[in-house]
Amino acid sequence: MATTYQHQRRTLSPQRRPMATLRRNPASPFRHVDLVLLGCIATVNVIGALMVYSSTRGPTRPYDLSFLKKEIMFLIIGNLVMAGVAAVDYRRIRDFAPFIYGGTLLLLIGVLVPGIGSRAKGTQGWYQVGQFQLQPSEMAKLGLIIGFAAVAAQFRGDIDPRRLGVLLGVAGIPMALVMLQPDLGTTLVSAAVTFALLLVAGIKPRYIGVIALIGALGTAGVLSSGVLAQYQKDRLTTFVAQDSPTTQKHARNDAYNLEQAKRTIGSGGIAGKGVFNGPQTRLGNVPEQHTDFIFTAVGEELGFIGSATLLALLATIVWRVWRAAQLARDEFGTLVCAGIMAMFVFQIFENVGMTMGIMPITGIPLPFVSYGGSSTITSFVCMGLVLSIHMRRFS
Amino acid sequence: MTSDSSHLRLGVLGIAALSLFGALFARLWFLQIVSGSSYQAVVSATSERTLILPAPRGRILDRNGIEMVVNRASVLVSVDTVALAKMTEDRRTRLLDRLATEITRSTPGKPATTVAFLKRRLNDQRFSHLSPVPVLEDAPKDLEILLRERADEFPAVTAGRKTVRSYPYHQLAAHVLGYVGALSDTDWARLQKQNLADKPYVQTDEIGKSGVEARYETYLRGRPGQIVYEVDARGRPVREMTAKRIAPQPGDDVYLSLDAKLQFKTEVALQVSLKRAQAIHSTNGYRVNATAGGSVVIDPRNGQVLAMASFPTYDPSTLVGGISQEDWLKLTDPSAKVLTNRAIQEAYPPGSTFKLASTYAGLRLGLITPDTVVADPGYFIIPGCTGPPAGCRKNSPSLNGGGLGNVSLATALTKSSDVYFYKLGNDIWATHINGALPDDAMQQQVLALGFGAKTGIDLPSEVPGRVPTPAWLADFSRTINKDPAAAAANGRWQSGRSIDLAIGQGDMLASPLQIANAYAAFANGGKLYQPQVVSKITPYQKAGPLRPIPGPKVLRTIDWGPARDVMLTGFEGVTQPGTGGTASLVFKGFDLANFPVAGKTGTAQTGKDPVTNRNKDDNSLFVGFAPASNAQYVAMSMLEHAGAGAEAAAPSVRMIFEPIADGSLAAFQIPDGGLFNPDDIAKLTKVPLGQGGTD
Repeated sequence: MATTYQHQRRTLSPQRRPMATLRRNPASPFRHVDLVLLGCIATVNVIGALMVYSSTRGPTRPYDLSFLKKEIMFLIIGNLVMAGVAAVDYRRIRDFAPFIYGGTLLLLIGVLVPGIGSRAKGTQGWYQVGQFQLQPSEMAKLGLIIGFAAVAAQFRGDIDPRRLGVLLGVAGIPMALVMLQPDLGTTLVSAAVTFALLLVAGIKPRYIGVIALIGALGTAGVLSSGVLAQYQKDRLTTFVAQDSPTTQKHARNDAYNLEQAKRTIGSGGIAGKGVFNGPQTRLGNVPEQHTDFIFTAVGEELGFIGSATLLALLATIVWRVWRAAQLARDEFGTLVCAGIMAMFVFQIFENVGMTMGIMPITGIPLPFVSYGGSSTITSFVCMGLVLSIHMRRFS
Repeated sequence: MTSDSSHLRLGVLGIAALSLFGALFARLWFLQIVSGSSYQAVVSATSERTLILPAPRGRILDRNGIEMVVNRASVLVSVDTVALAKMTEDRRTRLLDRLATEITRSTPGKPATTVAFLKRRLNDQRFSHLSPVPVLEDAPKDLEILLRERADEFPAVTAGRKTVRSYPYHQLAAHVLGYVGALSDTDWARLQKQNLADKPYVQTDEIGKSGVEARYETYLRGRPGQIVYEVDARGRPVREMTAKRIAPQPGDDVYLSLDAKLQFKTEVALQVSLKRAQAIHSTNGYRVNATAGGSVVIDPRNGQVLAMASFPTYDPSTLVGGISQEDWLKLTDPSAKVLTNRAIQEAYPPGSTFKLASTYAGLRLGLITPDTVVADPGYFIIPGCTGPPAGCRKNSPSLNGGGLGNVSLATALTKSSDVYFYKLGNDIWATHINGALPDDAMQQQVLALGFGAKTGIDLPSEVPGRVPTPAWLADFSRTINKDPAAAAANGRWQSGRSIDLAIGQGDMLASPLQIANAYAAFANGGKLYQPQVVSKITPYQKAGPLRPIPGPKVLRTIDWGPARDVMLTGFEGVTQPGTGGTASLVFKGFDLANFPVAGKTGTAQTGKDPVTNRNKDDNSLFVGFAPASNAQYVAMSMLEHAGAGAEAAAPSVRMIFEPIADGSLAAFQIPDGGLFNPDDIAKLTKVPLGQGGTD
């Protein structure tokens, strides 16, 4: 197909312009940038920044601009990073996959070492870099995807139990390290990503059944063992029994958060209260609203129309990633896109779902909308990779 | 990567993603569209607090714009319960103790304020806990200063301002104006049923309790404003939702038809006449029971009430900011009936003033003509009477046996011949017995003049009076006689009752306003108006636009026929010298040439005193209209147990007419505070008192 394009293009007269070479080459990656994807990302960025500002400015003047400023900075950095990643041929990234994966593991190990990594909110999961906190578990998801894809691509869909073991190992090591922090949310995302990657990599259906069984047993085992902290278990049980009274203080807090979140979203109605005009958002009645519970601000202030639009935009992003996975030139590209897609879908579903009470509360940000440098920049890196894979489908 | 297997697997992934998004959309739909309104209600309830800003009531003014009820700022001592709750038990107790002591010290004459009272008040559920709870209304100025200066000793206590009713002339027209008071439980229950979205009430509001304040509550009441605060999860106000702010709007100004100056003169006349009556020695001793009465002045051209007085009266100021139990008991003492407006809320036997109605009935039934002459020997023998001779002879009670000779209709009114009307009453009943008239023929005619029914004046609690009929009597007899035979015997209407009715005695009862209104319908040539005390209603302190209220309303047209001239002559003769008129002595020296007063005296028997078993002193009545042939004023006075009509009521009506007749009313200034001493004026007045026995 590519040659056909070249043939047709050659009949046209060359143009003497600096970018002429680029323009003339129909296989040039820059002719195939996914503008729909970029448009959706940009729109979601704007909504996200607006909502972060709305939920952090405070109820009265003078309004707090600090979160908005940082968020805008993250978005600018993110867009630059995305452009940079997209400009790099993803096959070079594939070549460097061992180093990327290895680096990720080092970061995850390093953060567990007291003195190097920092502790916050009961999680040993941060690098303090200047005034910013770097969260390696966010990067770990990407490292997992790249490492997994690089290994699985070599198997070319032929996965026997030994190879399956290798793949599970590749996915399991970073997951285990993240779990040690502990960061339940990222672990769950990674599990979902791994599951999707195994599916796309060509694992036999019966293995999927076995893994699902092991996963279920593992979950039960984890819940009954001491691996999870009590608050993490309570979150899951709060979700199951949303309206029953409980005596546990943090469980009550979670139930309260969930009730506030549902109220806030529900009260938005069809058209919403208008930007900066939702009483729940302005009064700060929803905890962690600018990060994990950002969707409540969208629900209250933009209503069903705005929330559904945001979900549709996110769905479009997911669709473009899925499309890139289908169009990708090689298996590595397909797997990376599928992993990223699974990661986005799971994060969106888990994040939005927990604010609406259909998923348990875990600390997972909403991509591109929640405030936070690590998650925002990780999301942009992901999109850069997808763009790179998508635009090089002919070259 | 193009293998079918891979596409299939990606398709599975895509379907999974699609279904997850579908789940999110569905859940979003459920939360925001299906249950959106209920979440909305919960959020409003928890995130907003509304503070009601009370609006001042409208003013009440007289017809010329003299302010009779206004608003003033009152010092309101309040306690912030939120701040109080944060104190230690010990500090709180000491603070309340100090506060109770200071309140008691600054309000001498009022019952002591106790800590228990304060605690009860602070826990009263009627008060919103967003705003401080008022513990003392209308506090004295020095307490306000003390609380401000020693604010550190009184944390959580504030001395704020509140608008309350103020009465520049205190007692003046108190019964017409009425008073306001705290909502009672029954008021609240009633208001809850009505949906007053326009002017909503809160339980701590005040409401008009009587008079114009009650009748025109919907106009006088202001529209409360509100401030809506957004509150955080702990209920602390975060900011005001300015879009939801509503500024309070004062109530409308109500202009009465009353003339405050004439009202003052009328009250003076009533009270002075009562004082003078008390100085008259009757067969029962001094008339110390002449302690109550009512007067009313109306404009016969439109039914507007120009003055309405009742005694004993009260100062509505004493009710502002709460009244002591002792004072309240005095106001509500059933033997004094201080709060009763005797001009409309009490019915009395009208006595000879009722002869207007009897005449009308006789003329309408064709039993008398303007030329009918009756011999008056001072008594009337009931024809066909079979009882003992004493029972068959009706004496003219005030003539001491002397007769008036042959009396025409005009003379019968001028000299108040009872015999003339005894005969009329008997004739009407006899005609019924002959079968030519129904048994209530006279009563039906009397009802046309407005007796026996409420006049419909725009004031609450008016009484309808009573026009007794044979049917009523039979009914009434059954309620007081258990034995059916006795009930039938006592409940049988006989000619004697028609005779009594013809002179306004027996069971006939009318309010002073009903009598005045009937005479107004005569004075104006035949229009029975629905009386009014309110002339117009305007927005607060603005000339317009006028609120739509009903204008003068003619209830019924009365055809007096050619007899009216004869009757007018008779009424004019009452005050004229040399006619033998019952009030001619009273109007001696009055400028009748320029301001001819026609009228009718009434001396109503009131039965025996149950204690002494002697006849109580008569009620004194007089109704006058002037100028007689072109009447602009009808004045009526009724003084309980003050003697003959000429002895008390007629002089009081002359006192009302005097400033009108000599033109001094316009320049007259009501004394400061509307205060006067009836004893002093009684000594100074030169209005002659008439005598009984001429009635």
